[in-house]
Amino acid sequence: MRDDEFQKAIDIWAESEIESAPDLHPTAEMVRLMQTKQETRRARPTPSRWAMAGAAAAGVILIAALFALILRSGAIPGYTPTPEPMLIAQRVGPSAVQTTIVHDEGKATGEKGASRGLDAFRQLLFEIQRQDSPTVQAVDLLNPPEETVTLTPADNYRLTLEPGEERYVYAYQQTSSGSLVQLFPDPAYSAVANPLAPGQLTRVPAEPNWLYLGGAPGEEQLYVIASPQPFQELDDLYAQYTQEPDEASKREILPDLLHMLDTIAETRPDGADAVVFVFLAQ
Amino acid sequence: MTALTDEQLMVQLQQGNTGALDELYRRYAKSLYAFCHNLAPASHEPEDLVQDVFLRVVRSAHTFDPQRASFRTWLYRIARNRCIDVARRANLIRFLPIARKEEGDEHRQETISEEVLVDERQDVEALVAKAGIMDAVRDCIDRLEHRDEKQAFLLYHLSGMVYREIGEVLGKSTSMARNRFKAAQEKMRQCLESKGIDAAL
Repeated sequence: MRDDEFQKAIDIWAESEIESAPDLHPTAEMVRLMQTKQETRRARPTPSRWAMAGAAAAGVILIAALFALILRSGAIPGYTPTPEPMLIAQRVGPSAVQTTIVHDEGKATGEKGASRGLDAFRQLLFEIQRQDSPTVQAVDLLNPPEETVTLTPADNYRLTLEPGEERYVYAYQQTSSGSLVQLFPDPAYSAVANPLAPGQLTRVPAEPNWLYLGGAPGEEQLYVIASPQPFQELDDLYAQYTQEPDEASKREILPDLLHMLDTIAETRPDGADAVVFVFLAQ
Repeated sequence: MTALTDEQLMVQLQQGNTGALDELYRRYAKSLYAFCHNLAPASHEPEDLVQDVFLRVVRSAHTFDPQRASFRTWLYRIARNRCIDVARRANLIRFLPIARKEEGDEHRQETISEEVLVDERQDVEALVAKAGIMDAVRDCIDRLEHRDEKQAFLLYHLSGMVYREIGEVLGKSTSMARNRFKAAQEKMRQCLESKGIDAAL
């Protein structure tokens, strides 16, 4: 096939693809979002860029959360929450947790986890300690199995991270009660600090400790972020969050913090990788 | 409005100017639609994906920094991540690849049919040949198994990006982006040749 023939075929295709695309316009929801952000920004100035952005979006997040709840109830089919999480665990009864690891797109193409928000990791394991078993089950999140894994409330779990390059790693868990816990870096869970060196295997929490699902109905989210640079503003805002003396004050900061995490997970700025795992306790 | 750069429009969007959003739609919605149509699984309507991408643009507008990336690469990076996410979901519920072709082509086939009716001046044989080329190219794109190669091909031909920009969207180096595109281009050429498209032209 000659170059000009090939180019002509591609040009015909590309031209037709674009010409036949429908005319799309901003939705009313977008316009409302912009107006809400503007009003919130005017009403609540804050010292940092991240905090200001978070404040502007706080109302948006609340609306989105309500919308998500309505949609998740099945009222509108086809809804997918934002940011798009990886569904990792789903509770199916009051005394058992059904854990479903999604079929990995990277597996199908032979690219181990590539471009799925996990590129930075050489290893990312979800380790499970069974109550009645002396061995630890390791679920490879970069190449997850197709079979279903079930956790009971008696089982424990932890993350094992190994970046392929030097990375600042952050792990946060939002509990079903709404509070946010920084799992890494945090001396309470691991003595290892950022940045992680290439090939540095790190368990969160450090041995011999484990995490467990809280058991309360609701949604728990686990954010895992790996970045070539530190997210200083994220560190600062989380420090501010933890230093607040009471729950009411923390709840005021929480939307900003979650928005910052969601934004990082969504836009993956400055070469950062991020992924969100969701535990649904019903 | 049209004299403004994308980055200037983003500044206006950050300030709440909905006209800036209209203009960004005018510039990018169609090519983004074509990109999503060729990249996302058939279970997701390209129109919904485009609207979702722009919603994310509005939500994350304050994080856009023109010093770090152009608006176009930022936009397509969001779109790419979104398509990967929905593909992951589609894999979870195991859509068969064949469904993409059947469902995804439905709208296009209708469009082509409408063209036949509307533009009577055009030669019917030429339109049939065009439809054959369209089908062949889409089928060959579907056969590009390497995700980065497919994306590089689509970004180059549908959005007119250069290798550096493609690399920024894919999160790869410029040389890697070029290699991916060249590989895709060669596979597409072989695929189209095997379908006898050179003779049709």
